[in-house]
Amino acid sequence: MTADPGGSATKSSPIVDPRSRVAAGVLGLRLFLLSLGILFGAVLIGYVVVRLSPALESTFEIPPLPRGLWLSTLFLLCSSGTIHLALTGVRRERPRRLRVGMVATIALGWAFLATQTLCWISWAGPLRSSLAEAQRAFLVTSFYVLTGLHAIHVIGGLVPLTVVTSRAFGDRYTSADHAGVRYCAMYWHFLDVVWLVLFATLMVAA
Amino acid sequence: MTTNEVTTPIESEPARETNYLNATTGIMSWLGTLDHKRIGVMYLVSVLMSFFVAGLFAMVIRIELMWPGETIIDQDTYNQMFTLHGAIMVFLVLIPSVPASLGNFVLPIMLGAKDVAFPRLNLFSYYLWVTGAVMAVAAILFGGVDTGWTFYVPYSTTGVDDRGAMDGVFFLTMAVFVLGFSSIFTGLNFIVTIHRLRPPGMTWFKMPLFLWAIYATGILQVMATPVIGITVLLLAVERTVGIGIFDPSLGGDPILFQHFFWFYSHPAVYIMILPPMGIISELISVHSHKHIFGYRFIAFSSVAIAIFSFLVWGHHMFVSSQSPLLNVVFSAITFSVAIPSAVKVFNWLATLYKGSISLNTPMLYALSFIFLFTIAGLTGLPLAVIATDIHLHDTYFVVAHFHYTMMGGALTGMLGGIHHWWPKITGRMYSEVWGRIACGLVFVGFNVTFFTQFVLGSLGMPRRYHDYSGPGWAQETTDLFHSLHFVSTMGSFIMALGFFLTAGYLIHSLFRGRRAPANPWGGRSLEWQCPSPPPVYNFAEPPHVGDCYDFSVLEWDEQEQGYHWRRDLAHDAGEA
Ligand code: HEM
Ligand SMILES: [Cu+2]
Repeated sequence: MTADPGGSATKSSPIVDPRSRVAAGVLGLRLFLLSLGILFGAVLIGYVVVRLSPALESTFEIPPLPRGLWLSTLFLLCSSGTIHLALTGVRRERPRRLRVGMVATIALGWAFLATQTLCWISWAGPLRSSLAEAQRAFLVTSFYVLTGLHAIHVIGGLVPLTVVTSRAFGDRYTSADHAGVRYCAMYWHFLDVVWLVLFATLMVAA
Repeated sequence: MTTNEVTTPIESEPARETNYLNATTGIMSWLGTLDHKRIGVMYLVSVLMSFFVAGLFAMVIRIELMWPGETIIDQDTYNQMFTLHGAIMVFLVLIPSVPASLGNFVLPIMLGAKDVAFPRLNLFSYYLWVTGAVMAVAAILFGGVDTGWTFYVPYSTTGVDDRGAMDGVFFLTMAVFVLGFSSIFTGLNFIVTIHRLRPPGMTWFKMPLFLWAIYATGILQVMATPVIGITVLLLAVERTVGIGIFDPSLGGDPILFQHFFWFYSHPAVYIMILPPMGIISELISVHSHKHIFGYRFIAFSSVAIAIFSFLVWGHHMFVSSQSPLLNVVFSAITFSVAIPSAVKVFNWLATLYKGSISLNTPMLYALSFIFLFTIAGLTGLPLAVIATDIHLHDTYFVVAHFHYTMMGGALTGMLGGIHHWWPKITGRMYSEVWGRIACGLVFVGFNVTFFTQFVLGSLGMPRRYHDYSGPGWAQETTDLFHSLHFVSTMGSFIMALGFFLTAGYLIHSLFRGRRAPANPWGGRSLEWQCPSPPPVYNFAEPPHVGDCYDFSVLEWDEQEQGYHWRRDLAHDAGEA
């Protein structure tokens, strides 16, 4: 086996200096969020284009958007705040604040998913009747597709959030070394912004 | 992996030092590896296997067209053949080809680094590619796909089996989705690597031009691919649930699909061509032993191509009923894209001028690239003129144009790169004589196959037809098309012979090839400073960064059959 000349680089990263390792991670995550942002942007543009097409113009009535969406929005906004709290907590070496912030974010994430589910159920009636009428299907199913796509990303975010939280309880993070918390926060704020744009679009379109 | 067998010394040669190939053995040491070199080799093998499969489909297509009437397959099978050929060549072969295989292998070494920034993500990308490949096979098993690689709606929303079925189209679109993420992660990984792992002394403008090309490609991969991802995802949802976003019978907008598709797929053609262009910049300079001409122009033209390519997708839709104003705008911008491509060609030619050109296999591929890509670009122009495109759209002229770009350009560039870095990757030299013969066969075969198709297309032969006879076809037209198609198919046999020959001598070299020196061609970028094949961590001590196109510091060593640093120079004399 050839000797590893820079022995301190971990097997999964060629970057020796921990700070530039985090800088690489942050840049990588930013690029990934840029990519996801374009994905959401494209689906919203598609939605708006079809929504504005003359064929759909005022011919059909769709039920008003579920009120519960406002509650979801509130939960998600708060969770952005709590994860920020967690991040400043670890930066200032306040482990309690980190833990409370993380747990609260997870709880709010689940609360968001729960209210979304209730909203989906409340639209089940229109969904069933609309599937029969082809032209109307778009108006109803697109709501499910857009919010569903976002919800999948929330679920995907809860996984690393849970891992980081359990590590926070194991006192693994310090003000100098807390990359995991930082990545989670970046992703979570991103989900928040996507939701706000998505919700606003749905409101205007309705 | 057969490459492991290199480790057993054949004949009576002394066992070699440990390198990335023989440091660990066993299949698991490959499948679970985080080493960018091994991942690059796995990609290379996988991509070439896909190339073989899609090539077989192509031969079926060509044989069907040799004679008028139904020759060997019926029209439905024919539709499936060209769809699978196109989809596999684009999504499984050309998109990952150069960056994921050769790029993975040489990028970190060119930077003097141990690996890419995120080795785990790199392996993950590879397995995403494998998953995509498996799903493509599933698509074939579940009834096949006959929509063309473009998946145009409503072909793709109203299939053989009706909506709700988990059929071939569903699996193939999901394969494209998964492959898209493989591509995004590769691009992201390379961008971060270039940002964070450049060695001290290597500023942006001292990077090898191949890295500029990979960087520009990375931008396209990260920013264009999510659009195809969401498009095929919506298509799959539309097929299964009937949401009505693209399908006109459900109130959707089929033109929207075309916009989305080409918003990705035009940049995607540059994902395919930019990395080979980067290879050509290296090959031209190294094999003519002359400093690259117009470094900054070539570097910036890669970035310019990347940016412009986002603005021209509408040139695929001139006859789609999009507004005439849009047509004019897209046509105008398309012409401007040709400029940076031409800038590269001029700089390559200027590099060759008065160089001491070695006409070895990589150089022959580079010259063949310049010739074929020039034809490709020039024939893009009549397609970008609205008036002529109305005649040429959906004819063999378009087929010939994009084969000149994708095969004459992208694939030729990749073959040049494979030959250039083969000694580095495998530690063996291939037979130069057979290499030149095969390159000649591929070149001749390619032109016979596809130049004929320019003629066919301008005479009006439509693409995607399995027959050109019967009612509606004048007998003279059928006869004329028959002779042209016959010639075209003959050309493809010549080409196939060239490829089999290439596979033959390359595989032969693994066992019997001469041991490669560290620097067989006289290259100056960092990968030529480490042994062939490189050790696991690439460099025992940090390599010497300098002007990577200044060849005056190297001299030929007859005994070693390779180049090394001039003995009369101190090692750092070349550092600028
Ligand atoms: C000088 C630059 C180029 C120009 C002006 C150009 C122009 C065009 C135009 C206008 C079309 C649409 C023709 C039609 O459908 O009627 C077209 C098709 C196409 N081009 Fe190019 N092109 C250029 C370079 C390239 C490159 C570098 C590639 C790939 C590496 C490429 C790949 C393709 C493909 C795949 C199609 C057809 C796709 C399909 O309909 O299936 N082109 N090109
Ligand atoms: Cu294009």
